Amino acid sequence: MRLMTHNVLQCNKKGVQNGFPLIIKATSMKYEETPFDKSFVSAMIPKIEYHALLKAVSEVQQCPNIAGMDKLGSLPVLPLAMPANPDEDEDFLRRLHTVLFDLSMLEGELVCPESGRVFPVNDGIPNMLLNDDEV
Amino acid sequence: MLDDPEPACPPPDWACRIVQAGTARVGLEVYPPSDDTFLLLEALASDVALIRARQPLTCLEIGSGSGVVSAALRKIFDGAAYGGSPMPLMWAVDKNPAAIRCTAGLLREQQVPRADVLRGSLTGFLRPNVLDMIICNPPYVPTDEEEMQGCGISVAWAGGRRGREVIDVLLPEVARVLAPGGLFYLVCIAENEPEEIIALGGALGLRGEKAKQEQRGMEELFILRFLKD
Repeated sequence: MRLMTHNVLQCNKKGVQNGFPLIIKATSMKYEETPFDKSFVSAMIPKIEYHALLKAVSEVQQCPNIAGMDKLGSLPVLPLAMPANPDEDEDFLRRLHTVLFDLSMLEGELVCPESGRVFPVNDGIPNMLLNDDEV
Repeated sequence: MLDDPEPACPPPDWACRIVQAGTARVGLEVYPPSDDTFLLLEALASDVALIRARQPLTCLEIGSGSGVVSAALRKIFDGAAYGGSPMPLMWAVDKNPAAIRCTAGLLREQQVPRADVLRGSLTGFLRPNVLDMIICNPPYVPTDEEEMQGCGISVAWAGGRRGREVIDVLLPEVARVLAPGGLFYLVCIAENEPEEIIALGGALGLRGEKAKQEQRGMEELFILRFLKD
């Protein structure tokens, strides 16, 4: 599960008012480089909840095991606020690309910030299925 | 249906290899690529210009099953025949864990870029307005309530009363998660009353029409195309 995917996920358990963003508790992640497409990343910006992404990156830093990190060196640092003209800032777009598409969670849990409901992630696949009594 | 596993029509030529690869994976627990799958693929291929003109960045297949439709989308977006355009970020969701394994395996094998797979039901776990395209071949066969329970293969076809119980819950969900200008493709059959589904969509801001209508085997199949204003 890429961090872009995490950026659109919410907890929809019955009664939860604000189940976004889910807290990332990752035990295993991977970095895998994909081709940078400037116009694609740039067009994606309006869909991103930037503060949730910053929070996700800080949570990923706690992950003890990120496969392929030797190729990346260190996690890209994103500015605290979105640049004024992100479309023209290629350095920023490259970092954004890496964070959104090239960092994936393999094992761990996503936790609802309101209810504490845990959504397990195994083999890169989050289980968002609610029980009958939760819908 | 499943009593008649041989499809009435072959898959479209351009998707043959993906269909074979997907069929090889399904086993007994996952709905195999069938007539409805193939007609959906034909509808998507017919709409390639319309789909690409909208430049979808994100796409979700609900109930991906074998994963054949999600994997074949790669051909819709960057097949040489169409000149090439960026593949959207592809999400595939299914309730059935065996289907999820099939889909994930097929997407990996077919090297579909930017694809993530999730286990879940419909789209309640997504924020509003995040999708530019949604594809769903839902359970549409009229059945009793019992067959709709659980996460096994019967949830791939059991649609409850008039085959509409999943479709009727799905439509408002689609209206919530589809971004303005987004496209939604839905498979259904005559017994589901497609005109009524189009009217229900209309009341939710989803302008619908029939993209395909064909008798295939025992079913009169429809592919409906909706556009969110």
